[in-house]
Amino acid sequence: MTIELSQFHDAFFEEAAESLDAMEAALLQLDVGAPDPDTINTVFRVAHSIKGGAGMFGFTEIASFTHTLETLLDELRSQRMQVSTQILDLLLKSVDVLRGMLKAVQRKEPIDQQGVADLQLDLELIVAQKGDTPGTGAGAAAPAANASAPTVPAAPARPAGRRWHIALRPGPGLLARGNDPLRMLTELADLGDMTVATDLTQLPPLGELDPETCLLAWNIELASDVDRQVIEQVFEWAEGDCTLEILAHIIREGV
Amino acid sequence: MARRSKNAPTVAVALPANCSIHDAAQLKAALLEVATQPAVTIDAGAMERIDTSGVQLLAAFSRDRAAKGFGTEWRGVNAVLLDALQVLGLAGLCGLPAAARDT
Repeated sequence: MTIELSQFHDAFFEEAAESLDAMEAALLQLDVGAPDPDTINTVFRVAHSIKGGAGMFGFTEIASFTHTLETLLDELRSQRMQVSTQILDLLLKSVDVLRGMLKAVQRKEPIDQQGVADLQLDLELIVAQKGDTPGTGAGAAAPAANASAPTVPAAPARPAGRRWHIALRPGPGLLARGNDPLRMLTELADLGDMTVATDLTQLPPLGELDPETCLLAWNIELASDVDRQVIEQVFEWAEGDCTLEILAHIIREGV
Repeated sequence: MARRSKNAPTVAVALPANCSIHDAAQLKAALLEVATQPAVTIDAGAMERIDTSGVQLLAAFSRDRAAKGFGTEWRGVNAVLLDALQVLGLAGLCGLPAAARDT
């Protein structure tokens, strides 16, 4: 790769990351009952832009996924399909998957092919069925899009409730200021059923590790009916010293 | 902190009572001292307190050793240590049961 092309790649990754943040913020504001057309347009433009850049640079997996995403967004934009909680959930999942794909490509690491393919199938299925899936009407919350299995067919029954996805990325001053992720995750575990995936990609070899800097990050799934505010309170003392994302998925009873 | 048993090739390192950020530099030095030994036993019998800083050091130690194909044994693992490793999702990496913590 020439230096010039590498610089263009960096600019693409940086812009795509910012665009995804904007897409996620727009999706979180989307009202399922009465979605704002401008918001849907914003989300569509982001997907379109990433698809174009990915295609130009030969990132075919990203281009293919965003093409599928764009197809669904076009259906929503033209109001041939309505925004349901299930679709909103798939769109939020798509943001997560795209972030992962961009990060992997940028770091020249393998993409989670299975996770991408599963979600892409979910997106294709929902478009093929025009969103006409059982229980997706107003007030009926969608199941969380499971990247390992399509969400459209009937699934084994499980109790209704919320599932929170929490991404915690400590900043350099977190530990030194007395904010301990162990305390935070222990408090979260007390709120419900928690599973944790730890990201060690930033953790250097022991010899190079500054013990006063937290270089671990966590992706947490928490099945709990608590409100967002309760989760935010767990991290309130760490504000400014970490990056925190809290996303809600609502699990429909019997799905 | 590290000592070599006369009759066994395994090197033991004892975790101090406090494995928190305030004593993390000492813990790091103790772990580095044995990091290149093919067989190490970590004795957690005296450990009373640990935070993320201490867990992170143990995780880096375990990961680095696993990458080299070196074995790490544990002795005296108590609930405080196991709980901390499990809550932070690092028990499996450290060769301890990764089962979900009871809530």
